[in-house]
Amino acid sequence: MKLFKAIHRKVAKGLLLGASLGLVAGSVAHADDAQRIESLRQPYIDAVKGKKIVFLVTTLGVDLTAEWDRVFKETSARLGMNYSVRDSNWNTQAQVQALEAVIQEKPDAIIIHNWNVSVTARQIKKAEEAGIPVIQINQKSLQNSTALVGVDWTGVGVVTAEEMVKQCGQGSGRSGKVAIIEGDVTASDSYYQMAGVDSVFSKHSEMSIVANQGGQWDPNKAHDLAVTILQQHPDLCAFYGTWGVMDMGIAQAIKEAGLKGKVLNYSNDGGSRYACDAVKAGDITKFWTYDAPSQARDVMQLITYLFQNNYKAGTLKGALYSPLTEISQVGYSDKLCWDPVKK
Amino acid sequence: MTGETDRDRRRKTIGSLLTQERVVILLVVLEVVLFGMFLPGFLSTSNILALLRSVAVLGMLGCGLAVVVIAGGIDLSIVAIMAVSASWSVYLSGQGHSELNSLLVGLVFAAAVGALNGIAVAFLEISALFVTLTAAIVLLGASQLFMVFGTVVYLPAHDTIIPFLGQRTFLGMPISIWLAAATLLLTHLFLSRTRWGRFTYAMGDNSETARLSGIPVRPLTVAQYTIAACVGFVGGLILAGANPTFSVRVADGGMLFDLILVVVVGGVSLSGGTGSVVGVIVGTLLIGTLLNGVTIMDLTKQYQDLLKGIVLLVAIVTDNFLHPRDEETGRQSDI
Repeated sequence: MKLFKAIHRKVAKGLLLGASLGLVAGSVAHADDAQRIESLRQPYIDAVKGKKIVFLVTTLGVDLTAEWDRVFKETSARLGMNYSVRDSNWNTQAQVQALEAVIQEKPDAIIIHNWNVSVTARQIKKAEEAGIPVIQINQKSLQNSTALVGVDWTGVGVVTAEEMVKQCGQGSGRSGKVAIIEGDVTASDSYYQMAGVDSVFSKHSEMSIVANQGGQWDPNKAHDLAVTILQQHPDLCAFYGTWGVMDMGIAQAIKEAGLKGKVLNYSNDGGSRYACDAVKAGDITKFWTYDAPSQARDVMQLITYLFQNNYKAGTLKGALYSPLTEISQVGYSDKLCWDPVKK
Repeated sequence: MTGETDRDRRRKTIGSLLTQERVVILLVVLEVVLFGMFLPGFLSTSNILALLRSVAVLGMLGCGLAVVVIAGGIDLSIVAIMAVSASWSVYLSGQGHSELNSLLVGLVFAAAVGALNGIAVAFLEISALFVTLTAAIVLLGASQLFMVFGTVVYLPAHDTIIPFLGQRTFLGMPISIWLAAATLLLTHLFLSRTRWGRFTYAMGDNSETARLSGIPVRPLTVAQYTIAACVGFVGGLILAGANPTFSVRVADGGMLFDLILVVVVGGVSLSGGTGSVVGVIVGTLLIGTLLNGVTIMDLTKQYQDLLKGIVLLVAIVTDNFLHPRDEETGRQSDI
């Protein structure tokens, strides 16, 4: 009996000791947990969850926009946001109508890839007045909204023109003659790129634009234009095309004329795989890309930031310009381009 | 005809000498002379070849469309068939299928769409305008959703036949011009030398009379739309093979307008029964010369469109003036 009592006492002591030790340990752990809760995390998760985002795009039929769509979709799914896309399939009026309809649906944010500088201006204003933040991507409207995420087109025009001055201007031994083939002269990228080019060329009287034509985003049209331009100006120094896919037609025309390497070819776009291939093959002299996946990431980061701050549309205006990456045979790397969405 | 004045008779005499074809030939000559005088380099061999090459596909498709229009129909889907079937072949080849198989799939697809157009027009008796307009819209949608999944295709490096059609030359002349010339010649022989060609005119002149005379109007209609679609496919391959990238959007642009312009301006009446390949040739040359000239002059697309519109208007007004419509020639279906 004595033995039993002794054991009992020991067990009780042990239990007591164990329990108190456990309590101490538990309270230490509890204090650690409190410190380990990151105060922004839960509000972030709550702020973005269930939010509705609509992307209005000119077309999903090109690598650039398909890549944006992929990133938007994946990010939304990861954060529990409700994402949908309205493809106006190269139709300006369809985009206006889609935007009108989307405003009625009152999403939490609109991302828009504008057709041109003017067509959706009124609707963008209307959306922001209705409290919906509008993020414009790459193609800017004359109507400013919460943010423009995308290329500084004027800057692209400036760097391309400066490169042309360097290669074709005074002291280069070349003619100073350049030809420009734009996607569409009314598209906002063209509008601002030409402003950039003019600002540089106005200081260089030796430079002359011998042709400036709209290639209608079509490689065949660009090819035919380039063939005729090369016929007329065999001493042409450089072509400047405003969309890589289309500019492959210019590259082909230069190749056919036996002028590859002699007539320089400058281009830009979102930087999918073919751009690197074209530079590697020497079809395009220098390519400026704005890295489409990073652009889409910028848009989503901005949107989540706005949501966390219960942003009221119309109170902020500004640009998040995409940094440009230069692809040329100097310092070339396959990693400078991304592989388009597999279909 | 009573009340015919001397002026009317004189007009008709001039009219019989100056057919619409001849008016357009005069316009082409005028363009060539003016551009040749004022634009240095315009008449150089290389520029003329570039000019011809830029409109070779237009001329080919013009043949396909002309046959359909002469037979009293219209095919507004020919450009869409061209772009979608050819880009599908390029896409499939890029996905790792053999180039030959990919080409076969594209051809069969184009022929099937053409045949369906023909069946809807001939057997279901739906207006050709609606059938082919709908077909074009459906095709362009389907190509993005189920076929090439986008609007741009990249010519695979391992392809040989497609770039051969679009880029290579034979005896100093691009293959595309040879193919266009062959298509024009074959169409000319078909229309002017064969029984089926004469039937085509008969159908366009009066479909009911043609049917009562024993001409197999319905099967012939199906054949015409199918052939037009196949010509479209070959034309599409030339365009797709010309550059490392090809945009299906050529079908959305002004090509259909140019095509109708080529056919109508050359004297193929949209009411059917009249016209010839010579008309298609001069129509094509007119457009080609105009586009080449305005590019050399560095005029914007807006000016180009304006000029094209004016040329079409001049051709139509001249035709109407020289061939005034009366009870004999006027028809209900005139548009």
